[in-house]
Amino acid sequence: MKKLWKSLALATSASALLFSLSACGSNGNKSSGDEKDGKSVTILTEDHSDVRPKSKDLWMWKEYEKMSGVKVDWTEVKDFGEKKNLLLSKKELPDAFYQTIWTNDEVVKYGTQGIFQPLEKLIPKYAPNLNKIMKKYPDVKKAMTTPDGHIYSLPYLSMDPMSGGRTFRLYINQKWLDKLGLEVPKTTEELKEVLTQFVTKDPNGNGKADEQGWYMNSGELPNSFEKIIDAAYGLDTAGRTAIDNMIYLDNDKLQLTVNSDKMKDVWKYENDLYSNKLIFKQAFAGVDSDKWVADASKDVVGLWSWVSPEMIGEAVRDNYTPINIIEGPNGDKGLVSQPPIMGTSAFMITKDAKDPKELLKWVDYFYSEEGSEFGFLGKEGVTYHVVDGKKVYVDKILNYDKGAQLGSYQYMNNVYAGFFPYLELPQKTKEEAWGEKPIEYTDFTDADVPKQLLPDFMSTPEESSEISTIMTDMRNYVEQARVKFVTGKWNFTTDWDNYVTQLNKIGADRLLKIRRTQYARYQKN
Amino acid sequence: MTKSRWKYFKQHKWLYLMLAVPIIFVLIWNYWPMYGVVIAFKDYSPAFGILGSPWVGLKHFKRFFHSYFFGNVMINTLRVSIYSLLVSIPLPIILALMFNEIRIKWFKSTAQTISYIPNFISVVVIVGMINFFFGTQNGAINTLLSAVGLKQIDFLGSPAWFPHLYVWSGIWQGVGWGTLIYTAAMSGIPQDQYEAAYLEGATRLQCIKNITIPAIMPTIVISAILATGGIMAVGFDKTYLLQNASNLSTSEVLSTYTYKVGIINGEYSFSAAVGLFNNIINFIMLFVVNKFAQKVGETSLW
Amino acid sequence: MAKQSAMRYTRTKGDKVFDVVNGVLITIFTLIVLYPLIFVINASFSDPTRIYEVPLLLWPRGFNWRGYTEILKDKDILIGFKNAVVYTALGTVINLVVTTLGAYPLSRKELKGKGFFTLFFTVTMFFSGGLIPTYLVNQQLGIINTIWVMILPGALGVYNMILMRTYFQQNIPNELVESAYIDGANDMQLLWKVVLPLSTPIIAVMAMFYGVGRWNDYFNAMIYLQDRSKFPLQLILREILIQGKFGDSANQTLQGSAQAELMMIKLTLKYSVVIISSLPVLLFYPVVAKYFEKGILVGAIKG
Repeated sequence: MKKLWKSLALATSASALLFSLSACGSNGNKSSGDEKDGKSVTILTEDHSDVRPKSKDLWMWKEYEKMSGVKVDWTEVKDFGEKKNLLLSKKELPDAFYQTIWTNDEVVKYGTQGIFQPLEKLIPKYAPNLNKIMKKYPDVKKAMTTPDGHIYSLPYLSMDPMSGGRTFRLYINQKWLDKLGLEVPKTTEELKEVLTQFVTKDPNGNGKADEQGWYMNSGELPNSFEKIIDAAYGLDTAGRTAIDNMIYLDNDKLQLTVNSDKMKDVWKYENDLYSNKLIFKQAFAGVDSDKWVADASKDVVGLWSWVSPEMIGEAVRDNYTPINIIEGPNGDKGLVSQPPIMGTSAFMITKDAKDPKELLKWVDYFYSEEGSEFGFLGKEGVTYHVVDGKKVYVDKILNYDKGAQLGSYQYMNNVYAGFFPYLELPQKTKEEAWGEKPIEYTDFTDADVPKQLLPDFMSTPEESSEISTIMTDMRNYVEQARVKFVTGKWNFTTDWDNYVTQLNKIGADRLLKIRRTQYARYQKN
Repeated sequence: MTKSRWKYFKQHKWLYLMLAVPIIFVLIWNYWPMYGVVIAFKDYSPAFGILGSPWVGLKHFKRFFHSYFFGNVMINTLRVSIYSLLVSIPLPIILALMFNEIRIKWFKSTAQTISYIPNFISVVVIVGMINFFFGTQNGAINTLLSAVGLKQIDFLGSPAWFPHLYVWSGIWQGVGWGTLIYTAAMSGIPQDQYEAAYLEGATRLQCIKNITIPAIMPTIVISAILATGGIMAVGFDKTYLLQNASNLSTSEVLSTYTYKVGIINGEYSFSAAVGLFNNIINFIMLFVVNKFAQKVGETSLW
Repeated sequence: MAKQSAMRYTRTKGDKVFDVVNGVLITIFTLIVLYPLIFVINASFSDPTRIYEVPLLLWPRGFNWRGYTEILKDKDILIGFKNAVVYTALGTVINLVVTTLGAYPLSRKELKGKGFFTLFFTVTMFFSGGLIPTYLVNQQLGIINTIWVMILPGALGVYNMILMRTYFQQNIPNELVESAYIDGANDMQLLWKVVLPLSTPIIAVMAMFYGVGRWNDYFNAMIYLQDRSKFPLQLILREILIQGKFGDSANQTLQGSAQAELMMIKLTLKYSVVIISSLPVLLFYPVVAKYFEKGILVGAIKG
């Protein structure tokens, strides 16, 4: 007994000692921010100190403080998603939220309730750069305007469809194509033929039939691969975000994707691939991304799909050729892209901000060409050099032990998490900056970009509470149905009608009606 | 009369003074925030605070009950949790009894220590291992099955297998840890009882039945009652990680469903309504089981 | 503990069979449970791309130390480790004190209103205000982002208190209590001098339960702590293991080569960090386990 208490007492005193040490440590580096010429704002952002220095120590922010004359008092929050609603319940809010993730529903809700300030009147005067973009691209303004006609948040923009992860594409194993003397497939028909040869003719030459056709971690199939097939069957007429929201445009009329006959054709095609073992057997269950990357390093992956090639690992990424466009049997094709306005919650000014104009001015710089270059490349001579007319990061970034991209995070604030209030640079400029040879895409033209790329619509609070249940239930049901159709457990001739009936029970009609209302409102903005 | 009451209090005042300490803690951190359950009946927004948010009555409950998947989700939750209770209550007891009967000291302590280890492995790693063992493509078990000429089984993608995977991986991970409380209870049994029994020629099984089990019975009953009080709680993390499109029809349980509808969209009121519904059922279960225990045995919660 | 008696009394044939069967079953069980540990240890020393190869991992494949050297480089993990030790030690001590102070009175039949008090505590297992009001309470108490928010809330586990109460009821001989009362002891003296010395097994178990609970807790830290320098190990661990697992597609985190690079690091750390984080608990166990044996004393005193 005594011993037990003794050891407990020992543990306590030891930990008390440790704690007092840590207390000293944290007090030491607390710098009291003395303001120089008055202009000082408080901004809350996500904590990224696992990959880069704290905002107050980051080169770019120190530099921008000199340039703008505004002193920013940064608050950084880890696990923002879990905490955001708690943070709002505080009496005093920071002046602004920078690069944090909020859904459109939340933006509307908190805007209407007065937590975020409406900015539409201030933008023309105090955010000239953003205003110029909104004039030039009306879609940007449409996507930001809430049902009550306000703008509560600023966007993250990427005008280049190849940049910022806007576009899904297929990556096909070029080594195998070369070995078998095949061309890069251009149609769904050719794709099937190529995959058949992949899995039957041992292109990796190890004598084992371990080659896979399309292979990625389970659950990924509907996210990227299926959307590319959607495009070949005419469901990509309003872009990738619309497909996520289960809608597309059929001759300018808004329709649901999931109960259309085109969806049936997409699943029939997938079922054809699956039953011929051209889609990985465990596509729906049991493979996590660790295992996929491990397998991919052994050259067994014929085809996969994502927005950029790095996912599959440094060792094999160069084996793959990107395919942007696959044409379907009826000649349908298109780029599977998100709209240029990739996020709407990049910057919000709260009710407690005393000087919203100053904040707008501060952030607007990054919507200019100069500002977006500064945000990504930094300053010439400090963080980048010009080599043969190309802007390339300096050696200390390029030679950073975890790669150039993480190296650049040590100076600039461009960690991809949440949305920047920022104009994304073209992909080519970025790749040159990292010292890479830019990837040239030759398989698509501007005509392949869907004419209308619909964003996530802004819902009224009533709409959003109705939609969220219907969408959750529909997603659940569609997910289950997809597996059954694709793996052949359900039959297209006998089970399709029942599937459509069930969707209606869940509220497909209601959803379509709401979506159409929202679309009409969007067009009017 | 009053005098004897005073005398009673004077003699036992320490009982109440001691009890005051946990009561204060519970009052501050459990009862004080409890007014927050009202958000289940409101449209909570941080802009207005808990008390200032508008009342909406049973809106969130209706939304939940009228959802297409309500019945399915309830059945799934009960299936997994009842299955889990039926297995996870008796197994630790049996294992603890077996441990207790080991005569070789080093073997006993080694086996016990090893049995606790899986409890400390993160769920993410556990699920990774489940995938590795039970996968159809190169999965360890299916490789074995086809090696002996049996048909492969799609453990991970089959709705029928999900409850088994969930429950038995939980047992694998937690059964050793679950023996702790019984081991403690057993170590309180006076040794002379066994000695007397042996002298009378009792066998080992008789000793277990007549001495060990009766001695730990109150602990068994109390753990069982408390466990049934958690009937609606199916762990989120593991379910979510084991869940996939093909087993969704049995793997969608209350916690994952609420997460998808409520938390992702920041609808705290909806989650609170589901949580309240959950707890009321749990509480009723606890009451019923406790009543039952009172009637049948001597032990009960209160 | 059955060892001495085994020597004194001749075993029957049935007993021998029983012992053999029991030993075999326990051995099989131990092996089944042991494999995950072997797997994780091996994986932590392996090349992360080769962990999932067939046949099963019985020894490290592509042996390397990178998982561990990366940990030593990561100052977040070291700080987290230190913080976790502090929170666990202080928190567990408070837990034990508060729980004992609740469990003991509830175990005495002299206490009036026992049913009420038990219900008073039990209700809190089922009805809680939820995250937001609790957050507001802690905010009002001014303990957010301090060590206290990691220690004071959750000082009492009702479940554990009830188990402890049951133990007291069952294992403290009534005669002993009566005679102590007659000797003029009050309940505080009784608890300290009679009950606790007889209760080392339950205290040890409670220390394990609470200690492990504290050690593994990441949620409170995630919600209530803001400074990374205060984060406990489990929160850092979660960052490494969960990254990208619970996110939806709208929440695209890192992109491009940075993502690929971080994924590789996390892959390397995934298993070694599990070892490092469970090591203290494993080392703690044998210390605590000794007190299970002390229960034998109960018999001695009673006799």
